[in-house]
Amino acid sequence: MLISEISGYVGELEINLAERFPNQLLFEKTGISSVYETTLTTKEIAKRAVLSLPTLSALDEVNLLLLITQSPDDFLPANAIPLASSLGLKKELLAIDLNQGCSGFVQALCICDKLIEHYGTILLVTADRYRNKLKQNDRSTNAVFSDGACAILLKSDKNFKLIYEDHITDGSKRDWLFQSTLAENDGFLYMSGPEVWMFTRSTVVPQIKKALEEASSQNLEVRRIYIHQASKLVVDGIKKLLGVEGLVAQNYSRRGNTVSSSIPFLLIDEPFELEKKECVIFAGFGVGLTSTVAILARN
Amino acid sequence: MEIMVQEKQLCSLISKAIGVEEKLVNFDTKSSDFPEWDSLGHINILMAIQEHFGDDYQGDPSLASAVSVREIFEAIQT
Repeated sequence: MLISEISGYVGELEINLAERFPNQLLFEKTGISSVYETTLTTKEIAKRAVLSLPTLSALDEVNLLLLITQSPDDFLPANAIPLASSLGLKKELLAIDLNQGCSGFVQALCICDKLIEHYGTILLVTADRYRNKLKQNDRSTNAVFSDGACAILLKSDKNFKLIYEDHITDGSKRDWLFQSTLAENDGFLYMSGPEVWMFTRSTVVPQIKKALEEASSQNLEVRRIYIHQASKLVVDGIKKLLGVEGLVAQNYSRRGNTVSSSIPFLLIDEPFELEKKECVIFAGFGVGLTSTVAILARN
Repeated sequence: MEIMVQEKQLCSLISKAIGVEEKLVNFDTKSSDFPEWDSLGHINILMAIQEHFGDDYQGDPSLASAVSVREIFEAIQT
């Protein structure tokens, strides 16, 4: 499976955090000076991301549209269906939503890798608008989350293969990061930052180490490690514990935490090229709590 | 690894981590006493503890969910 093209759209309204939360030295903790908010719908930011793809003619070949979002405009139908129509995609395709957050992109890669031979070309879209889920006075969430969307065109290519995947799904930690349609937290998003931060250190780091060992055992050279850009606290913490700081890509200071789009945006900013026997590692983690680590290698 | 932590030492570390005056933090201080001790502030405390005492606590859920100096002290001692 080849990641053929990627494009993105970030919220049009820039929020300067030093102005919003004066005298709080947030930047040194989060590494994020501005976050971005959109007034558009999820389907609209998804559409804008897709229409920014370099080769729009490739959309004619899409047989599966997979939309990763936790900010659906509609409960029904699946948001991917009207998105497909608004993009002018053919009607003879499968279009489905996947309700996953910061792990969503990597989880979707794992799924698409199993489907790509059948569908040939898959359009993966990540789109989230977390900012309208946030309590105004909750600086911990307001200081990191941004709205954004990415479009990723996946094509069948036997030279590239997801050779390894490792999933953690722990619903017992649901209360650490959630938004409910019920009355919990007044309907706003709740995140227990310390517990999620601990999870990244106790669970995600060993998972990535395991993937590094797997790459080594297969004599693969790891070119880059792409991890979810939660914030400086998380990314720097993981880098330090991994002990391979130079390999870990980062861009959290550019757009903030764009949830399911954070790794796709990272791929836009720091693209990779693989020679034979080289690989990259992806690590998505967060709401669930979930964590998925995968290795994409060139044969 | 067993670490003996002095109460005063812990109060000092926590006050610096959340950016409040040291004299305002004591053994009975709760997170709700300071707006600075929110989710971000608590991560700063955890980072300070790990920097000071090592990474032995990186998977300790009681430290992450602690809401007072006393609870943090007890989590570190156990």
